[in-house]
Amino acid sequence: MTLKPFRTMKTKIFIIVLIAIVISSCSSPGYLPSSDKIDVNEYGSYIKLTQNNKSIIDGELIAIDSNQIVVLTDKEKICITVPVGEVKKFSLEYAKPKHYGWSIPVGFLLPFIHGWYSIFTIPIHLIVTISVTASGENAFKYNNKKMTYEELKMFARFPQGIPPDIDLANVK
Amino acid sequence: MTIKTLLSVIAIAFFILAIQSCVTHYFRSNYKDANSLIHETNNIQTKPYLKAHLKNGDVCILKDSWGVDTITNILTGNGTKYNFNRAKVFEGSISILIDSVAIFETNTKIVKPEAGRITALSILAGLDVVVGLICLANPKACFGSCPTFYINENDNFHYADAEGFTNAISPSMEYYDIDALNNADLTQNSFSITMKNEALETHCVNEVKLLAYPRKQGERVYHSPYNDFYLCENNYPLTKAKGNEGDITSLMKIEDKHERFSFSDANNLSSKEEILLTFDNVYNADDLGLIFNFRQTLMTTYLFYSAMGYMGDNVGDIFAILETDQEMRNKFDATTKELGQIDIYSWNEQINGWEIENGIYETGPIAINKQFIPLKNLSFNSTVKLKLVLNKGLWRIDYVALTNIKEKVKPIEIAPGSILNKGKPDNTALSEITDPGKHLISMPGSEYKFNFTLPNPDTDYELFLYSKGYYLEWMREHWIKDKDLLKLKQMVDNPKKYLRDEAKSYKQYESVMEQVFWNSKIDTKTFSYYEN
Repeated sequence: MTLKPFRTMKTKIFIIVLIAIVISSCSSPGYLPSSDKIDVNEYGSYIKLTQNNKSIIDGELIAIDSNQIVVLTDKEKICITVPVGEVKKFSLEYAKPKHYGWSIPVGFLLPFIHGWYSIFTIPIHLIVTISVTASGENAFKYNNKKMTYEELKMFARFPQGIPPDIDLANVK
Repeated sequence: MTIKTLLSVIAIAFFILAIQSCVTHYFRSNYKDANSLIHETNNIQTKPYLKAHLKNGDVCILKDSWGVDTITNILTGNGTKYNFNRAKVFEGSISILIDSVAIFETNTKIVKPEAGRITALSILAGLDVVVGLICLANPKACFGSCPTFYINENDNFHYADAEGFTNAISPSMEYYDIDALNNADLTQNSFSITMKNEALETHCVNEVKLLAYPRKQGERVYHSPYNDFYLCENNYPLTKAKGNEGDITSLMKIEDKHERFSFSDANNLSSKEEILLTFDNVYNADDLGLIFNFRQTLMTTYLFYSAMGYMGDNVGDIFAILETDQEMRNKFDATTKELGQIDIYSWNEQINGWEIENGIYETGPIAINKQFIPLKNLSFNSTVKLKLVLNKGLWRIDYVALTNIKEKVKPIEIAPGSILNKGKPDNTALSEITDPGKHLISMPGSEYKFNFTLPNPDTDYELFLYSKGYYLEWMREHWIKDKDLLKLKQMVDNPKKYLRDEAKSYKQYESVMEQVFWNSKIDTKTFSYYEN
């Protein structure tokens, strides 16, 4: 027997661990509440807009009306107004997800105590832990398939629209 | 992996997935006027927090004590007010003019949003515990086993009919092993047996063949530890068996896999115990022999795995020494030798004492060995008394009986006519098995079905399996951290002390192992020749 299968297995383990770390390290913006504090959160939800030209704008959803969406970007901390017609798709996150990425490497390594049965238990572990991790990451999200722009308003900092006396340049 | 197994794996995974499947939460409502708010929240048992988004961009978050005075048109409550940049500007009792509110917002609590995912991971953890305990109970089922042979290819390890060359853990230790198959009456001249590799091992099988001897109604052929074969008749069942725990007759009287076993001594793994056997109404005491069905507990497996662990990352070097040094090879199984065989004594009325008859030994915890000891020191008496002296916690005994030897016989040897690998003829495997200079390499998960043709279709045969080869145990990653060459040296040079020192550690393992092993036995098959 050559060592090739073992090297391949090591590579697979490395990739799985890496994926788990990457998934786990996707930190949520600080203004997002935990799922039990949604009702007392004063900020808007996190939104990621993909425009028709494939450029992406993400940040806190400030306001939305039938023509435009206002986003306070996470990086530049400035309000950007995007015409609704230029938005190809959006995803909205209203609470910090629980990260289960740790369960993927654990779920991969733990079945080795099952010896020969690990042939069966490793796939079960991987299917379940990857699925749990993915569903955990997506637990508090909506997208344009699940929500209309009208409903999206409810998740803005200003669901009533931009107040008339407020200059967007002053919004932080 | 068979389609059935694959479907089972998928079904289990999907069952767990279904439990934690994604749920979209809808929890938020907006109201543009106070009337709608009052109307919608009036019947709610627990009032939700209320967010009042003011026209100037501020927001007030009021706790569940808020109320709307429809006469004064004022919303009051305790809470916090934030400006348009969400800096906190006030905390406490708040009164808000309804007219200054742009939108009211309520949110219902999302109840246990992680429950499904935690349940799924808990079920998975439960699966780990169950499979882990089963593996702890029977490591060979999960981790290691020499080749296992099955007359019924669909049986699992609980019903293995034979296990081959258990002690041959390196090429130089290759030897042949003969196991009685205890087969039912044969109605045709074809016979098949399936060899499985159910372990993390490489099996190098040099030869597999059948040994067959014709038998008539009422006759059986038995195999002795010295590879002699005896044609026998009559059967004298056990009348009474007594061990340290009391009467154990029912456990040893019938071939039913309800075995008598004991637990090890907590202070010394090589402590001995005695079992007294009585056979009444032995009407023909000439040429008696003892039929003895037995196997080992997991004690020797534990010791073998411990030795592998002590070798750590030196396992290759140590096996190289074993391969080249005969003296070292002889000393390697010092602990097993210290545990010893089952010694059989017979009661001699004339000298009023016990006389040694013989000993019996076969390594392996999976398949039950069906062996035979000719008894030679018996004085004529219709009651035969025997005594077994054996190591505590090492042996499982299923069945003992006496029989009369008709003659010593020599079975014929039958080579396989074909070998099926996953249902298809494998001529390469056949040539490797029939060529003495070659080995059939069987990897984990391999299954080979050996087909034999018996000489006479009208004759019933007693069948034995002859298997020759060796196997290479795969080193486990978690063993390497157990490296302890001094312990290994103690095992080899001072096995008595090692077995005393290790007794407590084994006791912890044994207490779980034995319990789960028996709980994992869902069904009990009757292995009696006559009932099969």
